[in-house]
Amino acid sequence: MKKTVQYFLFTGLIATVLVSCKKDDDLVDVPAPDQNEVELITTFKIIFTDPANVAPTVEAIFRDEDGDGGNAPSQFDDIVLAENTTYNAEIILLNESESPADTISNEVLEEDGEHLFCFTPAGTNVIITRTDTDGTFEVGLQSQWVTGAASQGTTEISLKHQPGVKDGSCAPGETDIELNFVTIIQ
Amino acid sequence: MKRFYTIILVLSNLFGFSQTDSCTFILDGTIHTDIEEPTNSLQIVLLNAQKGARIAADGSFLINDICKGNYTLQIRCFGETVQENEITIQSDTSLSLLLDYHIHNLKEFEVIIDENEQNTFIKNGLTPKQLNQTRGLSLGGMLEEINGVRTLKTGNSIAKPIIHGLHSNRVLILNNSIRQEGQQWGAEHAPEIDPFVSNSISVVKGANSIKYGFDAIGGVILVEPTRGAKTAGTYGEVNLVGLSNGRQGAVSGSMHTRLKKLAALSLSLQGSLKRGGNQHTPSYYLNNSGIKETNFSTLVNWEKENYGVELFYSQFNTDLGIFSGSHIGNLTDLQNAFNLEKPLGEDKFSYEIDRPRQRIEHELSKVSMYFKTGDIGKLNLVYGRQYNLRYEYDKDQSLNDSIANLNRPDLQLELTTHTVDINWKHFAKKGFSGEIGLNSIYQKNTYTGRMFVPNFENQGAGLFWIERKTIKKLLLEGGLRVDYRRLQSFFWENDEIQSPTNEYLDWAFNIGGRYSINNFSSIRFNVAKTWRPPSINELYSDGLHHGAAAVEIGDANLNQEDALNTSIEYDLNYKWLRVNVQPYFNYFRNHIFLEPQLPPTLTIKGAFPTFIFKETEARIYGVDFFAEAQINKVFSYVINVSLLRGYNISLNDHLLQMPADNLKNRLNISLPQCKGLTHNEFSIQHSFVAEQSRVPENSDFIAPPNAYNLFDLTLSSEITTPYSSVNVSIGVHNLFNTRYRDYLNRFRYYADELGRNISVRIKIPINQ
Repeated sequence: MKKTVQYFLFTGLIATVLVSCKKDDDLVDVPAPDQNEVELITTFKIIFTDPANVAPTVEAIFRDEDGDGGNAPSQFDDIVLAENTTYNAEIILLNESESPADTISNEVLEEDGEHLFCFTPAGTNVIITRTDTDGTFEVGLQSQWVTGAASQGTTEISLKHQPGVKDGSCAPGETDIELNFVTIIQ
Repeated sequence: MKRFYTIILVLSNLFGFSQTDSCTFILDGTIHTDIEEPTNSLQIVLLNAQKGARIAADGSFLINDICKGNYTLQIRCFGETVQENEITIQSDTSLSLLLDYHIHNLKEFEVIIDENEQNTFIKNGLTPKQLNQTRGLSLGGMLEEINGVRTLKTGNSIAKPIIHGLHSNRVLILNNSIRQEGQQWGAEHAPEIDPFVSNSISVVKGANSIKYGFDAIGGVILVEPTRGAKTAGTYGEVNLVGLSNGRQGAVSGSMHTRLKKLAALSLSLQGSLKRGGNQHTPSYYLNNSGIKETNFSTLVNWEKENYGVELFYSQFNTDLGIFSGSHIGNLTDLQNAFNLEKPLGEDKFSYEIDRPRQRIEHELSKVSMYFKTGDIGKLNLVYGRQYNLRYEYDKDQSLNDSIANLNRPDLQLELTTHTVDINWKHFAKKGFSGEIGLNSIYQKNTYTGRMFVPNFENQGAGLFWIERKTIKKLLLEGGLRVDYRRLQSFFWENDEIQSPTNEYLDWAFNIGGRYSINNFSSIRFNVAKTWRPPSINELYSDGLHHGAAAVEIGDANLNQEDALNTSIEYDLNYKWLRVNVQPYFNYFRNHIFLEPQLPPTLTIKGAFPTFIFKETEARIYGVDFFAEAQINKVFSYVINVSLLRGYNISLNDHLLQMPADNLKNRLNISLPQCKGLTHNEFSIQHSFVAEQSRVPENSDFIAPPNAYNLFDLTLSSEITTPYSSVNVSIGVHNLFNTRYRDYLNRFRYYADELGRNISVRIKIPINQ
């Protein structure tokens, strides 16, 4: 019994030493290419169109080409809308660090059951309702903005990623976008 | 008794006279010890002769009227057996007993080496009892048993030791004498060591000995693997641990063998497995907080009187689920999470580990040799290679299904480190004993995926010289050290590879002493000057620290940290009372810290608090107090108190993340023996952690949590079976299922600490 145990130990030892030794194949002096997070959203664009064709089309863009850190965002527009008008709004998300730019909002649309856009106006006269649906809940890529009298405030637009937990409210999930746009109605 | 040592038995001068059937033999000798406790805490016992003797203050002992025969010789410290050997008495026998960590071949009859491993610095080890009662916990978790050591936690699976307020790159961990290298700058990166590999885990608090390293400003943690059997044969140990919270199970087995025919060769094989599922706070489950661990190690040791070789290999592999409620999107999410009664998401038990998760693999290969250089010294050569792989899988997978199906980690870091250490110890010559040595290191780091720290190449070399001398009752130690480090980083900037180099060269020293006031008290003091080059994240991090909801920006122009550590220890060991007081004062001429910066960084995810690594003048001081009273044969009481203050002198404010004051006390009740059950003990422990009211302004999203009290119960016993003695211990941690949060746990932003946890620990020694 003693001998068997000892033989077992010997074999075990040799086996483990042979099986071991992991190594790093990357080159230290050639760093991995600047690989941004796959779904880096560099650009948020919201386009307002007047179905009555009275007010001109308005666009508001937030752009941060290199993502978190690095340089500050290069563009952060105000949302400027005409008073007493009903607008249809469409949100487009782009990854402009790729060439050609990748339209991330298409993928959000594909996974609409996991996403929800939330709109929170403050101090400004606008009523916002989401107009699209994923079959069960709203999504928010398309929304309707009804403006009232001239005013100036802010609107917080956020995108919540809610895989498996979407319940129609803005509470669950992780925030992938949170932008507070200055909103001027004139 | 606070420390665990290995005592070797060296036989010398066996007199050849034999007297048949006579019971007049004498066993005498001396213990040459460099232990911190006075020698009269030691006893030598001949078990089957039912004879024993106390060891006198000068180390001598004498047992007479022994009959010829075979006996079990035990060395006991405060009644606890620390060493046991078989001995045959055929005549008057003299023994010379030495304290050493190496196990020498028992067949040698000369006094082998006087390894003057005297310590002037304060070293606390986990006692065998503490080891038994914390088995199955991570290394950080086990180290909390040591007074003055706290842990920085990211949930319950990730725990890093904090010594006197310092952690990560300021605390050096020596894994089998090799510097543990594995992205330790990260607060959420736990040390990749399996504590099951070791029966000797100790902590040196503060930068008290430059021989371990120049940058160990906070202290050193020493993990030594259990080495082979002293006598020919095979023995081993199996440990089984079950924890109710998380339904966690761990099993570890080790086997050590020494062949009769090749007494110099010993082999050890050890492995452990751990598996746990979602853990539970008093009110809810922490979703995705499971753990999986597979580790093993092998050791081959060839030890002769004049030389020896050791080969060691260990692998540590773990998968950790990161509580899904902690991976928040932005600051608004974090503030909402804090205000919730219960985290969003699922609330049920599962062993499944999903995203977000970490996978870490750590491999250590070590070759070491020693040679006796004549009668004057011993030369040690050590080569170590470590490979550390870290995968981080973020919560969100790619929206693109084909990419998502590849299931690649979002961040992969590989760190390969080679170390070569050479040192020469010289034995007492005119009272001086010491060592000189050279430490060298080469490491390379690469990453794939999102960048948080760049690729780098780090090279360094250091020379040190330590001398010790005993002058009457005073033991003095002085050490001097000089180190060079060269760090070259590689990263892309505007489509070009930048490769800046940072070089550092500086010296470190320590002066310490130990004065024996009398037979039962001593005083130690230590003054050390150390320094630490900035770590890679302090220099080059630039971006969102996922999971921390903060942007951290490094500064490539940071200077090294410079520190002056001073500490004193008073130790009293008188009859039924033990007292130990350790005040310390550390001054940092340059201390690197994270300073909040306005305005917050604006990103598409919202605004994030921003911090920049900066230098400041700082001080950290405090006191660790310990007392143990053996009230009578049944009751003993232990109390530990730790107080600490950390101050940012330049900013005139407190330092961030300093441990709050805490107190731990325990009542031990020795229960009577009953058939087969010995060493029965029941204990009640209470710990109090104060609210950390000393925090810097604007550096945190949420105020530190309230003070809390926790109660634990433990029942332990040794079951004597015809085969061996099995140690069993059953415990309840957080007996009253108290809801609380701890300032040093990053998860305090999102969830409560763990609720009640019932543990069962079984240790089965295997002897052949």
